[in-house]
Amino acid sequence: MVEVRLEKLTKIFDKKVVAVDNINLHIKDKEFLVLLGPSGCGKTTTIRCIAGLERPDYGNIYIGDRLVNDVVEKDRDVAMVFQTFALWPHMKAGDNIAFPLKMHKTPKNEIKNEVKKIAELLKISHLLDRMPGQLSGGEAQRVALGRAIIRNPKVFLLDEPLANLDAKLRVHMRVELKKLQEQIGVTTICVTHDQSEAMAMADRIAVMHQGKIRQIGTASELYDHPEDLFVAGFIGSPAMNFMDCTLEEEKGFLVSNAFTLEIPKQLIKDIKENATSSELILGVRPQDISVQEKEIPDSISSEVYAVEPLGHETIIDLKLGDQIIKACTHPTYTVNLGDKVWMKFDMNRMHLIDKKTEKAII
Amino acid sequence: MFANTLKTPQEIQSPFIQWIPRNPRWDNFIRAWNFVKTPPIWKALLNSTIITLSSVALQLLSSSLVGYVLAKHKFRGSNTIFMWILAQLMIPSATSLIPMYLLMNWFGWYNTWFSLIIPAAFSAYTIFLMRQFIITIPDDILDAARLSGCSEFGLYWRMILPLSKPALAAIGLINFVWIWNDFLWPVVMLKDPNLFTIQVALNGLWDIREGYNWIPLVAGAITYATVPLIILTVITQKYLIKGWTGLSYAKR
Repeated sequence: MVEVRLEKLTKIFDKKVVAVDNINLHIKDKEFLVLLGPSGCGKTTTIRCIAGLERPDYGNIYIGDRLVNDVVEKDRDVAMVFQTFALWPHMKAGDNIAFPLKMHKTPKNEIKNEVKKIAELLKISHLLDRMPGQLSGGEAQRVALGRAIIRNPKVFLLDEPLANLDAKLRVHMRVELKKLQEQIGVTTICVTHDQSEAMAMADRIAVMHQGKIRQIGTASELYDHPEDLFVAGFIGSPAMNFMDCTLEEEKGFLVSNAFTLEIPKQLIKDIKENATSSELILGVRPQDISVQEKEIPDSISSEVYAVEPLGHETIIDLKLGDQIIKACTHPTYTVNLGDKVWMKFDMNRMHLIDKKTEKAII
Repeated sequence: MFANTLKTPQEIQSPFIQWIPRNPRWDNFIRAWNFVKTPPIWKALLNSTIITLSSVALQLLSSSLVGYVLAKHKFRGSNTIFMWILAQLMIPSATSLIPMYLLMNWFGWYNTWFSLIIPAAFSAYTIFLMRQFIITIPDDILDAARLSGCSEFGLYWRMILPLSKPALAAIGLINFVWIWNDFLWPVVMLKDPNLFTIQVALNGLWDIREGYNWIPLVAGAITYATVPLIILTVITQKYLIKGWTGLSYAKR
């Protein structure tokens, strides 16, 4: 049983830059947790703290039941894969993999067997005699993985493991990574800025922003029920459309300078209970907007501003007041620039966010 | 130099330069070898080799250690220390000659090799070069080694040193030539002819006048003093080129 617990973890650089701000996180045994966030949000600092490469300024880190704040990195029994793979360029791939065992004074023939076993697991047996400079990106990453798992670490840390691979390989390796993690059954924390990567691999995702964890949940929880403005805007591609609006209570309308939308009674009740004011942000995913050529009830009229045919779908940019709203449509849907169209939001999948607190109401 | 050794004194002094003498006098090389007497030339070459090799080895060791600490560890005062080392570079070497002489005397190292080797074992310039090189080695590589269970000294020994090979070779060779050719400091510090370096020994030739054969024999002796440097350059030229074309770590 290896759980990782972070309690009030805080890391401040140069006495002013708060990289990690009071984080509480509980990673379960054998869980694959992804820290997701834009660059500079403190996710890498967080796992470097867990690895012991950074000392936190406040807070506690537990690996298993052990408080590891004052344990040096080499005694924490964690392994890390770096974004750059960080293979030692003066050693053969096989020696790279063997190095952690060598450092722990494992007998020579045992090292040999272990390296062989790992190489077979990762399908790199033929690469062991090569120097890291002669390996392709994908091969180098397998070697880096092998080096990390050979010692059976308690915790497996991945820092942007796929960022240095080309797009096609990335899609392939994220599945491989997930499979590998299941196979060796080790608690894993992975850092990425790529949401599709995170959603494909993670058991749970923790979304970080400005040093804080905004929301923790499964991929679908984050997608369907974002808890605040940042998560709503960060998860999903293309990003969610946001429209400022106010609630007009008596009529049951959401009103902005570009549209008026009638909403169900129950929703009004929810808003009244949870919102701090009538100033709201309406969030609608592009996938939840249907574009109509004729006016239908509850639809909003707009004009086609741009069309982005992506092959598997077509994104239509619609002009609404001084804003551009993106809507996903079927790839066969054809429309011309400047056409007048009506868009209809899926009422059940709308998000309403309190403008002041930026917390989601529904 | 080489050609002059093969000539007669008349040929050397002739206004018509002969690049390849008509009758090369190969025996001049043997005579030049025996010509240097205090100390014998083999002894002077051996002395120079021992002094230069140990100086360079100690210098590379000290500069890579200090360079590593300055490049990869931030601690209170690390910048100040680095600035002090840099400030050293601005002191003209001539001004330190007499203070250094007094210091060596005070240590009781006058007329010993310590006075040549120990001061040469630490060089501000070499530390600076090593720091600049090591700073280009990615931190990730060192972090990965730390997590694998490598100690701080292990990092230096197993990562920094092997990865710095091109820099060490280039810097080592330059300093080898520098120390090998140094004349002023050894001539100040050494009195016993048995301790003389090759450069000091060659200087002794001015006192000898052995008839008209003198000039080609000196040329021969100087050739002997140069041969080790030529051999060394040939052996290390691969690293030299790497070192000069960019003293920075690159993925290999």
